[in-house]
Amino acid sequence: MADLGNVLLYSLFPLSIYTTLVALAAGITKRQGLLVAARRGAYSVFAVTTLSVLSLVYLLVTSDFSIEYVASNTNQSLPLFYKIVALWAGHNGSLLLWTWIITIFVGIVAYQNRHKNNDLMPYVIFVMAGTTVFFSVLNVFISNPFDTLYQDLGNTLQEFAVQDGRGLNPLLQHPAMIIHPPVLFIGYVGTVVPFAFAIAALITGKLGAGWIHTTRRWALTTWGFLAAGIVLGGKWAYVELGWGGYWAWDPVENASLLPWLTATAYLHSVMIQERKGMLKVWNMALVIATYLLAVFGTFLTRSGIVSSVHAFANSGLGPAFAVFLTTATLFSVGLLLYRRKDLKPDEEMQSLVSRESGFLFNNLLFLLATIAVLWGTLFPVISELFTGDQITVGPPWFNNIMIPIGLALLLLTGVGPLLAWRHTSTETLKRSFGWPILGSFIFVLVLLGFGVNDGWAIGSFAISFFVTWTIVVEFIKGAGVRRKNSGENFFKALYMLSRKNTRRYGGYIIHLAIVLMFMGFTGNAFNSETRAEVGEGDTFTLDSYSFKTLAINSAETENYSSQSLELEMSKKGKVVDTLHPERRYYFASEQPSTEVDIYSTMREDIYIVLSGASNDGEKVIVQVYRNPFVKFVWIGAWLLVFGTLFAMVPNLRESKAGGQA
Amino acid sequence: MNNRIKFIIGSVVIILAVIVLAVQGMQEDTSMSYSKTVSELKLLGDRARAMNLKISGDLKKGSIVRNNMDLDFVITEGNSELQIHYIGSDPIPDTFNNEMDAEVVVSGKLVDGGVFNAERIQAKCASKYEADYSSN
Amino acid sequence: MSILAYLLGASLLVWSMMPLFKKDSSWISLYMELEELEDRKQRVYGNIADLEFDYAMGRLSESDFTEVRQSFMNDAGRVIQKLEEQRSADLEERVKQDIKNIGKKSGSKKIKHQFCGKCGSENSLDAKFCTKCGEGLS
Repeated sequence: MADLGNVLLYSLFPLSIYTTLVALAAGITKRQGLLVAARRGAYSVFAVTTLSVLSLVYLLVTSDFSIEYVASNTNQSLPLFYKIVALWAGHNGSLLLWTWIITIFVGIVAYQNRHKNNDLMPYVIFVMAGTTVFFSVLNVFISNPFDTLYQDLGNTLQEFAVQDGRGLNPLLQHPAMIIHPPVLFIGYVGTVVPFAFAIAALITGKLGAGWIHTTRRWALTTWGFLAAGIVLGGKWAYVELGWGGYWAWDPVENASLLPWLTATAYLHSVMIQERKGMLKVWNMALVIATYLLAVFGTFLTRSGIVSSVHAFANSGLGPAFAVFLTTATLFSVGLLLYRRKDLKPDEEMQSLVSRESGFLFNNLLFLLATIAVLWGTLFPVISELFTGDQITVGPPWFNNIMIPIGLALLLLTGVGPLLAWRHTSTETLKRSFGWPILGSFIFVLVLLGFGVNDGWAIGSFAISFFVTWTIVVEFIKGAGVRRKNSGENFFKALYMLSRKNTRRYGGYIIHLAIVLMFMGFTGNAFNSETRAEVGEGDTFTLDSYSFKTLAINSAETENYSSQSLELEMSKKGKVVDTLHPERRYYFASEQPSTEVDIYSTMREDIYIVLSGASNDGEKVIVQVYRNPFVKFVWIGAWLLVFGTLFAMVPNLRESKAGGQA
Repeated sequence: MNNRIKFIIGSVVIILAVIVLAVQGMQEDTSMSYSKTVSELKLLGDRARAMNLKISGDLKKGSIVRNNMDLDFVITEGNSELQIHYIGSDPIPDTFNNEMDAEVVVSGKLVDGGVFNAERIQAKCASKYEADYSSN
Repeated sequence: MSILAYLLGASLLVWSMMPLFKKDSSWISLYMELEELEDRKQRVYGNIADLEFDYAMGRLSESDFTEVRQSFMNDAGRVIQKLEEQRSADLEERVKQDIKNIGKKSGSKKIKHQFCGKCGSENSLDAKFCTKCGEGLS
């Protein structure tokens, strides 16, 4: 079976080269036969990779410990579910997952467009197959998951199998961690589809809105998966790593954020191109940048050029990635410059008080955010190059820049809906802005009255209030306008209004989700924590909570040994809950892990970590964090997913011509 | 053209604001840390006291001393040694013990007496390719 | 076991290469000017819809609304007129091409075919309307 998988993987290399070349030929000659051949190549590449992946899964499930990857990432007693999921636990497997997703997408795109876009498709397949070629080189020649274990016996290398594997990293044995890689990878890989179409448009000169329309849903889906993947990563860090937070501006975290930032900018600026035929070059650049940043992100994670707790160590992929990235960048930028003249804007911006200008500022802020995060992430490399000192910037630097930018962007989500396309009349401006601003101002006074005195927090809450107001008004007013014409009741009108323009109202739902998440982030301004060494019966307090140690227990299973704490939590004399933080030591991988316990309400999370034990074993060290509003982040994320799905639903068409945005 | 200019002015203002934030962020002590090896640290001499540092080296086997919440150990690199005193509040992995071959990165500051007060420890087992970590 | 894999890989390659050996023809690129005009038409219609919505939501004064609406309607009129001109120009071009091709050998076993100017799909030569999208064929 290992041979089967290995040979199939090897065959990916020639098959993808063939597909790339045939697709290019199809584009140049415009011959139907060549295009069909390229499509079949795409399907074949998908088939071969899928079978290869399935054989790796088979090896994992049957615990074939002669294969290095199986031995490093699983062990006999690992539950079946985790054996399957070990597919992406280690570097080689996760890289194969990347490639698999690429081939799935090239197959889908080829199939979706089998009756249309004949001019673009050859080059689309060319770009996607070309990417597959690169990744197949990595999978086959550098990081092959089917490598067998070898023993050095002096003169020869002999294949052998270990008795039992090292098991899955315990940190990965958690639901959020399980789906975080595939979800994130789907987001990363999805960036190749708009990119391929953009390149195809540049090569063929078909620079109209066609490529944008075809890729609209792909762009939105990719964006959604990236967002979900990023949040899942944060959730996992929060629940599994035990440091009390969910985002540390770590290089690998930043790597996933970068393409998301440019993708968000694109989703907005593309609307300007649709309405005014402006920003054509900029949109192309954004699509190209998003793809390059996604590949760059995976390069950062796997090359070891910046050190990170998440990063796989230097795996020899660095040079290959560098070559690929440089080639892709030069090629895309070159093409873009070549077609510059054909990408002139059709119209100009008429007024600064317009929706266009709002989107332009939105894009500027996203661009600055991207540059800032990139700069901060690469600073150790840059500083070493220029000063000889390797300097790392930490969360305070990132927060210093990103909090103001984030709040400015949040403000724009509230201002945007109040602006009309082209130009907003001054009388209406006063009316639209007046009420929400007044309301926010009063809200600020209320907050001050409650004793909130952190400036940024107040700003954040005030802007959140403002945005929520404007968005809710948009829904209500819109329903009202519809009711005048249709006579429906309010809720029906609301539903019909949204269904007839899912992009706009889905977008508003997403903005509301962002507001919720920002409120969650703002909770960080009010965090508190404490640390205590306790034996059975000891007590301690944190703010208005008091804690009593009921028991300290030890246990052992087949997989791990553990020490746990029964901690009773009370507020104002009443017992609220009993919490059980735990520390485990996994035998197979010789790794410890903390199982935090979290008491989570809308108002705050009480987050408890068992950090260690005293020398005599009689006492344990426990840390308690009070994190306000964390739940808002997760709830906001769910709403964001819902909003994204809603935005993808096709607009409802009525018998008379429906409206479009 | 009038609108163009207004827009450009607005953008320049925003860009300048962000640059100011970036530079200001760099000047704050808490944000920046210098990465050095143990021997490089020795070369810095007294200058090192003022800097936030990330020192990398290998764990000296047998040097770990634990005392309830206190942790002391020694890291080496080349011919140099550095005494580490852990003052952070995050849990230390159990694998951080006297038997392992570990590459260690400590973040913190150098204090009087040549001891390094570490707020964070990252320990990577030399045989595996993924890092163990005490904290994030 | 690995023989299976070699066989599979090889047969997939063969299957993918088969279309290369069939006699076929090229597709005709959609006329660029037509596409651009269609784009513009969509854009103007979208602008008009947006404008009416913005006005209904109270973001525009009445005078602004009527003024801009008028200019959009003029735009729309111009684009539609250009589209008509372009379509009839393409028709002429198509007829000329076909007349030229009558004298040439067919070479294909299949019935002579033509490609739709709008969606690019194949239709038989004597079809008047595209079977896929309904667009009129020359």
